[in-house]
Amino acid sequence: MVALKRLLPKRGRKILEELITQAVMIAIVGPFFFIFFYMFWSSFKPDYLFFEPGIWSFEPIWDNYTEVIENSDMVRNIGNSLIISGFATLIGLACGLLTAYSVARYNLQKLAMAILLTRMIPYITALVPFWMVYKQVGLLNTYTGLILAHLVITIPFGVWIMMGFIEDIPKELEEAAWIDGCSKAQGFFKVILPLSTPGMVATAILCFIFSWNNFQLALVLGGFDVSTAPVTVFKYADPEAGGSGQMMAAATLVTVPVFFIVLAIQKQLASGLTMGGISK
Amino acid sequence: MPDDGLQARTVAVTPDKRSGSTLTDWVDRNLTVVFNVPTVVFLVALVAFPVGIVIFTSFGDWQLITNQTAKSVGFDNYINVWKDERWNWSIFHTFYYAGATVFGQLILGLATALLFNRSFAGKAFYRSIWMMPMIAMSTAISLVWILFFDNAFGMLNYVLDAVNVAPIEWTSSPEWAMPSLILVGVWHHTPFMTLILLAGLQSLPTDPFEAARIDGASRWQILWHITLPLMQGHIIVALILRSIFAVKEFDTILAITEGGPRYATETMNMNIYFNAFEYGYMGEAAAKGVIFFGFILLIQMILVKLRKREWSH
Repeated sequence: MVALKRLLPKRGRKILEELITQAVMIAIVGPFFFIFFYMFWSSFKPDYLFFEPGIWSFEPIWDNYTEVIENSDMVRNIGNSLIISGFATLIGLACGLLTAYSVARYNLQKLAMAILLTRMIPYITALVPFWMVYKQVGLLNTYTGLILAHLVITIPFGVWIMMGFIEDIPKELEEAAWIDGCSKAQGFFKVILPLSTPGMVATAILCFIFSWNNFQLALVLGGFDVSTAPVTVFKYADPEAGGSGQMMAAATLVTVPVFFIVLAIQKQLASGLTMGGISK
Repeated sequence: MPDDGLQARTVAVTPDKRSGSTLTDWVDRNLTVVFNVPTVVFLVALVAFPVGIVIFTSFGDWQLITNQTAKSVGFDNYINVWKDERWNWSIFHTFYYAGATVFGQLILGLATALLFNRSFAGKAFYRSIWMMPMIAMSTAISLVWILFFDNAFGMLNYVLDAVNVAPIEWTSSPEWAMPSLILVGVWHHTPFMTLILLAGLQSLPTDPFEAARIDGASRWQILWHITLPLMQGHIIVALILRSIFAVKEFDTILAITEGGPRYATETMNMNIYFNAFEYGYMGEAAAKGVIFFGFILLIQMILVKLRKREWSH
């Protein structure tokens, strides 16, 4: 291969290199993506065809979706998830923005480390006391209880991602506002807040996705009345629940909407996720 | 004042104290306090307070079914958990799972990060597809893997059959259950590794690479003698961060194997979950929860130590 490359003129070598990169990319990304392709494709597959995994062409049916929507608590729990993750994201974003600003501008290293430490706590360790306290005060199986628990996800995550975005805003802009007679708080609300909108959108979406995907908190703290989408999806892991087609339909319902959001703003998400990943 | 220029500048960039009401003044003077009240109140109530309760609980004989009023038993819970063979095995399973998934993630993550660091056609498209697993709901993707792992009708054995390899009892045999979950873990979290390592690659200085190129070093030589040594710090950080994440893995394991067959894939997280919420041994579960948190803090401390050493260089 190397010898072949030497023989080719420079332009030919460039093209060959590009082709090899494309082939390697497809070889690596392809199998990773196949899981999602399979999930989507077979959600339209009749159950009796699952006995032969190699069948790709069939008459697509909607029955799996109608079954999931009509015979499970999927729709209600997607609604619950939207409420719980929505509120948790809003509160997490507001707290995150204020703290991220003061940590970034006033160099509050100790607070930043303390918040990082709260991200280390395994949910299961927190769930034992959460469950005991919730049982005492009647917060088990309520929206308030689950929203509060989900703040454990969204606040620290919000702080750490927002911090990166705020550090990117030049300090001079605020200082200019101070010279024009703004107070520090006004400077924050009139200068920083509008400028950090793109960062806030990315942070909100990431917080929402992490809260939306969380399974363990709702599994323990939610009950029959207030449960979330991941818990409904989990119920299909039981082979007696509904069959392979419905498993794939349930999985597709909760996964595909998230992908469209991510495709729409993938650039900000990549930087946000990297920051979040480093602090994770 | 020795330096009038500096003094003048400091005055100029501080908001004018006389303008605005007394409330604005007060907010300005205590900005770092006012801005952090919500975060601190929530985190104290939702993290610090529960940690206090879990430690308190771990010294009592809380049992949901038989013993509603708990009395203190000292360190009994902390001593007794080590007599629980299932718990000891769960510690082994946790680190086996975490070590193997993170190792797989590192190899694949490094390869893909190096690829994504080049420029080629359709890079943004490939990258967005590559990122999909890490934002996918873990219970949802577990369902796909359950179908893939099926002994008789699963995709994996179908592929093995096509290349004339004997079928494997993926999640139903004790030997293969853990490797199956590791496969899922690598698939699910390698993109995160790629992102962290890619950020590292992009922050490397360009001078050594140019110098090596001028000296006529081959690509492998550059990779082996320049990129990897320069990336060492980033790799260690990524490894430890991903380990903390992998040690806590719960969703895919519960959905795919439920810790079975015969507890062969039960991790610490799952053991505590079963103890507390299936059997109701709250005191014991609390002690195990504290020990589990201790393990994670230990990994975190290694990270802090290594980072400090790196900074002092």
